[in-house]
Amino acid sequence: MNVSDGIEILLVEDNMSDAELTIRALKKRNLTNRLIHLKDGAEALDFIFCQGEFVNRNINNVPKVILLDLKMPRINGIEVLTKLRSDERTKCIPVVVLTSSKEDPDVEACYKLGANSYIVKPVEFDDFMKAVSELGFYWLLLNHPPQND
Amino acid sequence: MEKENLIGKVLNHIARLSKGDYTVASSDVDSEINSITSSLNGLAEVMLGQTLEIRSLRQQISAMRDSWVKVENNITAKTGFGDEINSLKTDVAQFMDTVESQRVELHDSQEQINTIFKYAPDAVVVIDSQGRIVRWNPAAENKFGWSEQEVIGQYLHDILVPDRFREQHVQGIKRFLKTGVAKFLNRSVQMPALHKNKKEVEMELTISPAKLNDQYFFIAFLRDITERLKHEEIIRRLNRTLEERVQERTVQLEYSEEKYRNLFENNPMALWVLELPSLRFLDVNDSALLQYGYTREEFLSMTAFDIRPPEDKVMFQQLDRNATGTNNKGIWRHLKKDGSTIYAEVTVHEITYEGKPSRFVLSNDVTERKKMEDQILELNRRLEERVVERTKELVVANKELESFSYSVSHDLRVPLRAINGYSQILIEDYADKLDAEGIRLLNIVKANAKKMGQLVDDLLSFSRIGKRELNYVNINLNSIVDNVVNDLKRTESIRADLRIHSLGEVYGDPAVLQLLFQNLISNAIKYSSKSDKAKIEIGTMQQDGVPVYYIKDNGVGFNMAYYDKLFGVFQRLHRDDEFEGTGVGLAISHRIVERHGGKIWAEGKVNDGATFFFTLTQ
Repeated sequence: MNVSDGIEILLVEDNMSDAELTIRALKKRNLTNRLIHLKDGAEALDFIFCQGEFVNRNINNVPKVILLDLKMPRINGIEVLTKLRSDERTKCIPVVVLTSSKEDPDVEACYKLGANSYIVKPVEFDDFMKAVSELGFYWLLLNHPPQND
Repeated sequence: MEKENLIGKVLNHIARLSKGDYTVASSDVDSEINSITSSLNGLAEVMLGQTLEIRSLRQQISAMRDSWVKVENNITAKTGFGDEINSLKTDVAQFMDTVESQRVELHDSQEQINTIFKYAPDAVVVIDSQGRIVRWNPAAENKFGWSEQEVIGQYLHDILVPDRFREQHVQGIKRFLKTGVAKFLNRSVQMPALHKNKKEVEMELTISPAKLNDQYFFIAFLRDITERLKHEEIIRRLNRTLEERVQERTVQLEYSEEKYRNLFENNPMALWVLELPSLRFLDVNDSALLQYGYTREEFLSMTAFDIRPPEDKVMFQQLDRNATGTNNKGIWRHLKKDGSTIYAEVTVHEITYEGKPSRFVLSNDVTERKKMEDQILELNRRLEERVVERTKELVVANKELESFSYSVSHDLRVPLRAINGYSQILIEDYADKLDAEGIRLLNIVKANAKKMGQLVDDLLSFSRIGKRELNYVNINLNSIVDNVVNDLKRTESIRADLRIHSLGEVYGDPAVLQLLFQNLISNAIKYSSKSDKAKIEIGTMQQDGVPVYYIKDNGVGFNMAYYDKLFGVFQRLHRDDEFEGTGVGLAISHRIVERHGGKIWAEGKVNDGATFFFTLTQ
């Protein structure tokens, strides 16, 4: 079994601080055992579609949730989401959009593209922790994704 | 004629007899013959003078007869003039018959004259040469009140002539008798006559002289013209009035004519009259000469076609044919004598000029105006272009602003999150290595990072309210207020006593209005939070027929001296350590009300509460 198989949370985030704070929040809930942090959209697509660095990965091992930042260099969150939703193998993966501001003009586009939910990353550390851990808890432990048999 | 011949014959006999052409003649015969001769002479004279005084004629005839009997008896026997005498006898007898028949005629005509005299409608008075009345007809009796018996033999001037004319009358008769000349004879004169009652009557008088037996008589016809004069006076008066009116009208007409002539001649606008259908110039005023540069003679030798630029002539011909009635107005290009073209605003009236159908034309040179209009059009066009350009720029600028907002929102928050987050990590993970002061400082770092995040959010919210499109619907304000209060209760405990009256419906954007109430209500809660018995009242009242909404609290209030800053962005009337805030809430509220076409204002007093009022006229 490949290391990258059996991933439950795929965090796509270019900002290291945000990534660290997110992971720290999830860790408090013990949700980071099967988490992989990818630093931009290109890496995310490589991972999901088992190409480049992740060519040996089994595409059928889909993550339980993808936490997707929108504003990233090279390939942004919208493009990643578009690709995911246009492929039969990946279109059912739950995607939670993380955004820095509710002013984000892409939020509406995300919903149209089939994002499952979105959260505004609060400045307040406590709020941030609470939001991230709650969403992780929901998607990993409470949500029952459709089975790929 | 017969009468004259007879007289001639008689005179010849007499002449021969009187020559004494007989030898035997006694003195008796002589005297008889002389007597006859003088009788015959008298007769002839009477007959020749045509004075038909019957009485005198009779006397003459009877005297002649007497003489004749004597002559017959004596002369025949004694003289040798038997034949002559016989012949004379025959002639005289014949003459006598003639005279006798004439006498009858005369009598008849006398009767006729009497009848006429009696029934004449005019007064007829005959006076003798002394001025005494000899005849006085019934009409005279009637007219002057005197009977015939009363006046016969009286002097006319005593009876009829008023005092002032009396001397003149007497002298006139005298002069006539002396010289045969009289101004007043045989012509009709108008003069007053006296009635018996001394009143004067206006008469028309005609006096004709007549000579009878060497005596002059005067026949006066008098006609009462009082009525006629009255009528004449009326007619004269009417004529005078009529004449005056005619004169007056003539003056008026001349004045009016003059006036219009002046109006035409001296009008500052170019005017002319065209003959129809030739469009030949019939008349043209000075302004037209000045405006077009043609002389009057040149104008009068042209038609309206001649003052068109060649390229306009066809159009003029076509359009002019369709033009009917009066008051046609239009702008045409006209050609001046110097070859330049002007724009003339032309008004046309169909009129009758000197009896002929014509066209009266007013021409106003609007070349300058037209130029200016064209300039304005050009300027407008350019302005429009610039507006389009600017709009494009504005759209671009707006887009940029939007992306700037997004960047600010996104990029500023990332480091803030990091500052806040890592401070927290320090506090959590390194608490044992930090003393109390270290932790306090880290908390200050966290608080400021949080505050800055709030500022960024509010600033973006404020700019968004200004540019977002509003979606107007009818909404119940109470439902909005309920939402706001419920939201607030979720994040904080509200100690204040909240009284919400019925607010009714308005036409507005619900999301934005919710933000308005949220700002105002949370302000009221915040600033009354330190009061013992905080009270907040939300209601509405009518002012000038417009609903005014208010949110009233009994909190710390504010100083009206700083009222100007109340609705400014980032303006605060309290320190952060008193009440936290960014100073954007009321600026946003102001903008929301403004965008709904309303007004917002406030009243406050330090430590005595504040009330915010607003209207939403949209």
